[in-house]
Amino acid sequence: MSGLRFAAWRVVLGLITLWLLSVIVFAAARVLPGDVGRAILGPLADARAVAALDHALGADRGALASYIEWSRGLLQGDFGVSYAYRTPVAPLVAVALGRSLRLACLILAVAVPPALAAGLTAAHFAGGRIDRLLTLGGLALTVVPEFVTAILAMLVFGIALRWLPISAEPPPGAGAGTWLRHLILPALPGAVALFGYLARTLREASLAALQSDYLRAAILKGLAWPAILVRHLLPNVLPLLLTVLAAQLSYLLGGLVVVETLFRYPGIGLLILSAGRAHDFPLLQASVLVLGAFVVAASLAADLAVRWLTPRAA
Amino acid sequence: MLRGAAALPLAAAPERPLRIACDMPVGRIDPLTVSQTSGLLMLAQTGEFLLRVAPDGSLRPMLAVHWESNEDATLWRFRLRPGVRFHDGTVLNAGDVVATMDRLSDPAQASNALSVFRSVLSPGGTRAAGPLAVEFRLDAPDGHFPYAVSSDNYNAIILPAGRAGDWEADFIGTGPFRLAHYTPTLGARFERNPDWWGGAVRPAATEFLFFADQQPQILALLGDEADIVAQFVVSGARGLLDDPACHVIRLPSAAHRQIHMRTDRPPFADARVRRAVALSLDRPAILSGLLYGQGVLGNDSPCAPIYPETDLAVPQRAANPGAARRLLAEAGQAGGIAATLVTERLQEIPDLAVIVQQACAAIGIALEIRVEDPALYYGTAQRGSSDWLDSDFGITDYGHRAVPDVLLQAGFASNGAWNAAHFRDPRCDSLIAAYRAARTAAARRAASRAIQELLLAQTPVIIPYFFDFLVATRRDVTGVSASAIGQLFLAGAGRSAA
Amino acid sequence: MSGPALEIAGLSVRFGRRSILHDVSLSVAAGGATGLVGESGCGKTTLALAVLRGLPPQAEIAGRISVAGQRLDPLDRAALRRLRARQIAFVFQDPVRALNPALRIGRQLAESFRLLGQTAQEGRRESLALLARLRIAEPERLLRAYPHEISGGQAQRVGLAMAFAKRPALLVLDEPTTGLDPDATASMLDLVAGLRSERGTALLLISHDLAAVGRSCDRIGVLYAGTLVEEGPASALLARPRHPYTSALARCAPRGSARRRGPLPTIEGGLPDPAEPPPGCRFTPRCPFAKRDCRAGALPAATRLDHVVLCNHPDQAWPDPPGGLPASAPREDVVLSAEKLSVRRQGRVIAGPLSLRLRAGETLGVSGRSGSGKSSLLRSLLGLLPPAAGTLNLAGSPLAPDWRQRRRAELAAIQPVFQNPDEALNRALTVRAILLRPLRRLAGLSRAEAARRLRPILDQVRLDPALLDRHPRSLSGGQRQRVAIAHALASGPRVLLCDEPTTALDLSVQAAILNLLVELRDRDGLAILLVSHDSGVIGFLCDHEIHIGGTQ
Repeated sequence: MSGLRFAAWRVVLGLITLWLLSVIVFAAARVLPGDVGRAILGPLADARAVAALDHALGADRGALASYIEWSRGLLQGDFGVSYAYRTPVAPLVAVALGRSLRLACLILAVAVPPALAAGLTAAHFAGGRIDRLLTLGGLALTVVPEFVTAILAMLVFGIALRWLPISAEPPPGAGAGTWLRHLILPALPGAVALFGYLARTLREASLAALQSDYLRAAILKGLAWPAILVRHLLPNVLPLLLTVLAAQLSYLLGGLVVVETLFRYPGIGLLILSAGRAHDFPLLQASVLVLGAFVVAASLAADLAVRWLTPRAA
Repeated sequence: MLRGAAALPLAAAPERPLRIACDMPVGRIDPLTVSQTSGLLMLAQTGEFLLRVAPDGSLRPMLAVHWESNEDATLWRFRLRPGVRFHDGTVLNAGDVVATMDRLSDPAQASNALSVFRSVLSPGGTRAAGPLAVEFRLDAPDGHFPYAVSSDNYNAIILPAGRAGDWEADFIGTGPFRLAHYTPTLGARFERNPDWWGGAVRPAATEFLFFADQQPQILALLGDEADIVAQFVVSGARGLLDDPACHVIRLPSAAHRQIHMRTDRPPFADARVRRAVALSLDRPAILSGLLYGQGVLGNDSPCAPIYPETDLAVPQRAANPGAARRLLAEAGQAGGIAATLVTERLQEIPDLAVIVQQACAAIGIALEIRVEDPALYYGTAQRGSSDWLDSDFGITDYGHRAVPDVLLQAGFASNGAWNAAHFRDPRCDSLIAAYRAARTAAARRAASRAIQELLLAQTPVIIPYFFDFLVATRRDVTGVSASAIGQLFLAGAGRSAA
Repeated sequence: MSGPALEIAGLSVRFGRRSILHDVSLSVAAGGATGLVGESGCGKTTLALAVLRGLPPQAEIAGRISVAGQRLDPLDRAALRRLRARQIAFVFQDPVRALNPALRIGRQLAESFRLLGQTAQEGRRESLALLARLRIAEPERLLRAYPHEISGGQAQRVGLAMAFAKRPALLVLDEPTTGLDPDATASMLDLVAGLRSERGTALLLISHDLAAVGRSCDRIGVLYAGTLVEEGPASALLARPRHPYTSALARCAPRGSARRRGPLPTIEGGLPDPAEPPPGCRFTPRCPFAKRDCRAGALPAATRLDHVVLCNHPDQAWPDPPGGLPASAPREDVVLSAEKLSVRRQGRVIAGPLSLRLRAGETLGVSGRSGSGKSSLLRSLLGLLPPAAGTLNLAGSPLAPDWRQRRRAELAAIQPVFQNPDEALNRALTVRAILLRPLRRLAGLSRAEAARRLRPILDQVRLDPALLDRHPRSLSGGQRQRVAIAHALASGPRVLLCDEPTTALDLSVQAAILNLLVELRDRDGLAILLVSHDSGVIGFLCDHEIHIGGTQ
């Protein structure tokens, strides 16, 4: 019951967050210099054409009126029509989000298990050579910009060795294997950064757990190391891992613009960026809100999982 | 039969489509509104124009086979190519041309071609004079009018009369390729049009890959995931120029950067001050330093060397700081001037701004640089709410045009929409009118020379260079034809079997 | 079983420059019980971990440890694990924290049985049997509970159950009686004794509580600053302690009444810095009998029968503290009174109705088992936990039951001192800032006046003014509790409400704090209400005692 009430309360909070987000995006879009007609037709276009386009798109109406109309549409499940693409927003966002989700999942799959292993190993050998290597290496990996990792990966694996394609989008009708092959290089920069960050975070958490009385008790009980890791350490590190991952989701979904650009993988990050540049208010709103909804939902899911995993918090 | 024979050597192996890396078109691809290079590149794949601009700047027949004007260049007659079919099978006729031109010249439509047709062609000015004959009755004399209905006016692909806003559904046109599929933000695939009036089409298919940035396009070319990069700028791609795996197609163009100075108020109201600024710049050094020589020197008028009417005998302005300082002294500005240089964050422009700043500092003009996002810089593109049109001193990018008419009219006529220098000179206005109305090459050359000299004397703008339009291909790609405004004509393109 | 359950010979442990244990030799006979006594920081827990080979890898260990005849140091990981799984058991000082917070008790208990090769079902059956044996009322429910849902006493029994699951040769108990009331201590030690004799388990009992150790061990070792200063039969060692330190420990436990016997003996000073232990006898700096020969060279181990002492001048009684105040009688004026007070916690009346009167210069003791509502009573008086019924009076005027409705002078007049100064003091602030707050807010002094008041308050609690700019965490436990008392005194209170103020402290430190409370009462006329489970403390300090819980 208290868990349900907690979840319901968090859903309400999440909806309020999203509403605030929509107001902020709306206000920001109004503050941006220029207008949508000018953005589409270019700076040198005739003013009459710009006015005609703004009118045709409905972008010349009052700020409040257009926000109210947009909200009304949203409540009926209609995200509206993109100014720039002049097609319904929902499919555009869905396609981009789908790409971003696939990439994010692959990054998680590639980064989390080794980060977990590295974090536990480093904590186990705290202060030793492996630990120093992993800690410093992890730090180095987090500060290397994705741009550098991406270019390096493209040059080495894509161009010099020709092992992997440097374009993320597989040819139409490709199978799962091809799909994976195309997405490996694009997943690398995010995975490397995430690995570095996660490994260090998990090391700290594992170290704290390893120095706790209950873990010492487990060791002194005579338990074998795998049992200690899986049964005693992991349940106490997992909540942190989930929380951190939920917090990283907005980065994994929307923050990899560089990767999306370099690997020709137009995901939600690039969509938000180009919608902003194009003054495409309905598209910008929808993509930011959908991304926001995912982040809010992920953090809710993580919190619920953490509550479930840590009985104390319940 | 013959057509089949021509295609034989290519049919030997299952053919891979020709892959072209290009910028991502943002937004709907609509012939009426397209303004980005990436969009006009798409238009030209399936669409065709009445005329086509050849790489040397001359006009060639495309959907029109013959064109002529009356004595004062106010009435133009075009005869259309017979037997041309749109991709849906309907036959091209004069009604299609009339519908296309009426739409593009209508101020009530969101037509990007309006800046070309402004005070030249209005709705109703285009009339069918027979099934395959079209007449254009102009608002004012225009000896260069055929360029306005050529590939240079990139919106002006001829569409079937009934078609308007839904072009993106099928990319309908008369061209050598038909749309296979188009995925916004990702790419488009075109297939050979076997019924093309122009004969055999070499590639069975072309595939356009959209990129949000230049660098990955070059990487795709180097990684052999693309055969052609539709366009690149040399800053950031220096290595391509001498990469043995690649070939660079250089097209001289009229694209340039315009450094404007407000002529209507201090500190640049005095032409001597403006000339002094122009004399401070070492143009050959700028050309080699910023563009690695991929361009030609500018002489402070939009009359680029590629235009046949441009008089190359007008002396090239060269750096002369001493003369510049003398001019400033004459103008009573020996004590120095302070101003703000406003510009947009685009390609090499911020670097150019720094060079201008240093050159000006050497002659006693202190510039503060403000680099803005393009959207902020252009603002509404109306005086009073646009840093571009309101700033005392700014740098603006201008794309290529096959003829300078619009650049002159909009940029330097007293009522010009792009006249950021606020330049008002009745003599200049009449010279531009004369240039546009001229029907003979000699008359136009004379007008051009007068304009060039007037702009040098008045210097409302500085044009330090015109830069080349660059296309990169894999070394073994042949038959690529490009225009300096960004079109690729790929009917004859392919990779030679090596 | 042949040979001792535990034999330690010449054990030294260093962490870098810090010498934590120095040449300790100790043994526990098979089935026997040895107590290890000493103040916190003297190396007891390090020794316990060494016995389990559970010290961190950076520890440098010399000497020899054998458990059940098996040398520890040559064991490989698997053998060590087997030894831990079957022969040695360890129950942590804080039994709740030794349980994995993410796992149900049942799973953690079952693990101990699975280690012995039993099936889940057998393990569950034995768990229930063992818990019942340990007098857990509802063992089934306990198995389903998470660690945070059970009490400290239950957790300790779970720890014992895990320990006895394997019939170990040696059980190590680390401070098992800390925080337990005397009844609970006694019953816990009885349970352990019973199980031990059943299973032939030897015991190493680590404690600072001499009395508890004396009750359950046949031998006692006294550890000071990493050295074993005295070791011998429990009865002999308690009756006639030979080392000055042991003698001091034995004498500073509160006995009798302060009003009759004067202040308790204390040990001035603190433990030496382990990085630079004094040469010779490590107790020298604090020892009133130290001579020059104590400061140089190795000490002779004086042995009488099997009672060993490491001292040049053994067998001298620790001196009483000088003077003490003349005993003063409580005055007549009632400062704080409560009539028919019903203490309520979480909507339930847990104690009362009870009435009490507190006069100036008088100490009232409140005793009772844990959970009986002692602390809740104290919180009710403070206004933090408004009572279900009853009235309060402060110096003859009615006192609001809720602190938010009390006037500032009333708040200033009643001040608490809690068990754990770590939690009561704001870690982010310096001692100066901690003390200035009540001076400014409750006493209402100006900045300058408050600063002037600092010194007298420090003198009152005998705290070195040099500590003013330190943070609480860099102070010793005794110093922290003095800061907490100073904080309470700052507002100029008439009543101190002390909740187990010395429970977390070592005996010698406790003695000093108790002496301080006596002084505050007798010299300054403060009224003190003292909540404690320790009858010795109550007897020493209190004029009257009320017992709450159970039968009223």
